[in-house]
Amino acid sequence: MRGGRKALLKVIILGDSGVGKTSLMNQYVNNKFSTQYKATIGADFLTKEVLVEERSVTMQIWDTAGQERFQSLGVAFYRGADCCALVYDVNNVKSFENLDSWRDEFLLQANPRDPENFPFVVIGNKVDVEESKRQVTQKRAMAWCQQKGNIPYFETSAKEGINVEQAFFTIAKNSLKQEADVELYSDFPDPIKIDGDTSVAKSAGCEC
Amino acid sequence: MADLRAGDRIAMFELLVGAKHLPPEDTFDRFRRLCFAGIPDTAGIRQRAWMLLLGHLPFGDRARWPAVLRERREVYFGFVGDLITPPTEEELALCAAQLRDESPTAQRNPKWDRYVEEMTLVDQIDMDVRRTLPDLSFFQMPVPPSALSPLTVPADVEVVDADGAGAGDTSAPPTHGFQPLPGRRGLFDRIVAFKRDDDFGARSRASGKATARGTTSSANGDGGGSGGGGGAGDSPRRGGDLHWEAIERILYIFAKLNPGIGYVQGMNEILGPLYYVLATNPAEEWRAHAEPDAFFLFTALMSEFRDHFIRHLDNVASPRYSKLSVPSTASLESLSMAAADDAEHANETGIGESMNRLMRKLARVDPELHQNLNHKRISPVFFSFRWISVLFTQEFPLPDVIRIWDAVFADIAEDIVGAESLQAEHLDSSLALDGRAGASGTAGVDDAAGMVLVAGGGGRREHKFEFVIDFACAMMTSVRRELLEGAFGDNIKLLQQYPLQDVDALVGKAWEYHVMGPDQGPQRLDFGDMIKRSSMQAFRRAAMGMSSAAMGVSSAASIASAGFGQALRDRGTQEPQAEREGGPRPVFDLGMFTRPFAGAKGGRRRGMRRRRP
Repeated sequence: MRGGRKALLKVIILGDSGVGKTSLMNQYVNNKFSTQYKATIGADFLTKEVLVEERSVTMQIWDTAGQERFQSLGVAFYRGADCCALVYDVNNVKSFENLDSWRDEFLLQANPRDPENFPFVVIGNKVDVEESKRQVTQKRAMAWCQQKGNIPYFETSAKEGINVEQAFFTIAKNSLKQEADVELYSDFPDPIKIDGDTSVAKSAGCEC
Repeated sequence: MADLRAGDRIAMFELLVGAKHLPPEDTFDRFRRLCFAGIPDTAGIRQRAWMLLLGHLPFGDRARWPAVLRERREVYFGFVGDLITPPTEEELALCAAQLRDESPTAQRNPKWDRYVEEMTLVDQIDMDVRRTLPDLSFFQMPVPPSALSPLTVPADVEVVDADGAGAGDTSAPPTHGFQPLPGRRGLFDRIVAFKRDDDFGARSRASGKATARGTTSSANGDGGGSGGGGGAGDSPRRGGDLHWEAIERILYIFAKLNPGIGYVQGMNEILGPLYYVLATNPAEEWRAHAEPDAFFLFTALMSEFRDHFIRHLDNVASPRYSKLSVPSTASLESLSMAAADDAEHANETGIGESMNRLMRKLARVDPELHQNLNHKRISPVFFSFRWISVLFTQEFPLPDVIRIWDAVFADIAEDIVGAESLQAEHLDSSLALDGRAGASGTAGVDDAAGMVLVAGGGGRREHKFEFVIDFACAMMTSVRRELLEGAFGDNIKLLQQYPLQDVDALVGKAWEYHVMGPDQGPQRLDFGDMIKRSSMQAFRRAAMGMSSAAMGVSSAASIASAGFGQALRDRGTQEPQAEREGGPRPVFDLGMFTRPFAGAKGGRRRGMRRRRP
């Protein structure tokens, strides 16, 4: 039943304002780059058809707004996500430090079945900028990814199209794998309910 | 014939926004109705019309205009003088130390922390304003120098002109007579000093050589063209500001004065068209003051839509909220208290509720489409959050946005200015030509801050800015066939990249929904609930309205229900409804707004719904 069906993957892109989420999505979907993207209001939506292991897959990509103010909308966008790409700017240490809270917030609001194994991908964008401005080393980023359960890590340049395809391909592949696992689970007559609140801390998002 | 009509309209508008006293039949209400149908693009009309609609200028008291304008501009220049300051020596030293040191935490001190917090705000604004209306070269161009404004005189001229220190009456020659503002670029100096480098390279350009390249030059700038923060030395720019820098200043001042809201992404998209319209006024005496005037129009707009920008109010539950945000230091405390208060109660004014209003309206005018979208699990958040929160600026090209705003402002003018009080005011001033006679609460002076307030009838209607909801609804129903036929992904893409260009048709359709009036039911429906209330119920409600119309119970009810019945009948035809001849249903004929003076007297009576007793 599963083999013939066309897969639909819902992908969420998260990260601080200005790290290049919109640029990444547009580079991936349209092979275009512009410095004139406006700040995203709410979330933008694009789709792309890809072939993963001989299977035709439609990726529905939600490029979300980075400003904290928009996080209350998260729940509308995060629910039912198959994969989440956490994006930071390698030249902006704050955007890297915020990955923790983006991840927590996502798990909290998306409430996936198996938060421990939910497929994330981490993307360090803007590697085209000169080395002297870089604030987060590859080593540091990879250590964080490892600590969070071996999240795949990519360094990209949306501007120059470096590694973007690879990152999104991994996203598609891992989401499919997750989907397959989930379906396997749901074949059991009485599935074990895994609570979403394990190890998920509420981020300090209140702005009172 | 159409030309003739257009000519008449222009002449009429010229009178309505002119400095001359109006005859009593030219009420604010009538003016509002005319604006609904679109304000002429001709020289300087729209600028003043928007000022009237948003309560910046008193409609009925034209004698007071020069004083009001001058007073407010002075207030704004005061804000610039007080709030826009260059970095202090200490801050510069801290910045320099931070830039040298890889770890800013080495510099821990509370002052620095505060500074960082503040600069984070500035940086966010800075990042966004550069990208305001990027399709136009306008915002990348320098603000043309003018001796009329302390913000636009070139720095070297400014010093010479400074003798007008006694900022009294405009008895002095047409020089500005305002206090000079030598520190007006202080904010930008602070950013340059604070930031490791200038991301976009825009400030590292040689002074005065502002070009239309703007952000497109950043392709090089990113790659090191900005030369490791070399831009810092160029400041302050001698040749004046760029337009996007003017709106940066406005947004910063607004955020400082309204800490309960601060700066939220998207505000620049609302401010952009306001500023653009003012700054393109052919008359220098107006154009030169685009920045202060835009600040006040923006503030007036935000007083209407501020709740859309407050995260606490996003959720559908919180209390009714009708306070105005006022750019006065005196109100800061009350403002933030009000915001905190909101968080505890059920609110009906945040963006969540506005989106629910849209879906309720859709359920009413097009139950089939509503149900269809609901089945496909298309949440209004996916598309209408942006539509509503930034007032359609992202969905249409600028000229269309401006056209839509004519109608939106004409609608909210009822809240901001208050038709009744203005009519009274008009009456007052027509009886007594005394300049102060007609102040009647639409504009007053806050003693504490010596500040002109945008106050008035805010919150007098149950359903504010209903036309925004109506227009969003019209956008949906105008592509109903595509929506009904498409799947989830197609629908979202369609609604996010809105295909229709004919805004007049959309405004016409929105008007149909507008005369229906807002959802009457006190019951709160959420998106999921609405599906249960099917078309039958809507029809029943329509039928009830019809019968009351037939009995001639109340004019408001009859107009609303007749409009509703019509909308139901029209649904499915997909015909643009802007251009329809009068005849059988003159009541919601858009043409009624375009009828010149002769038709106006009768038009008043039968035209607009009167909701309030």
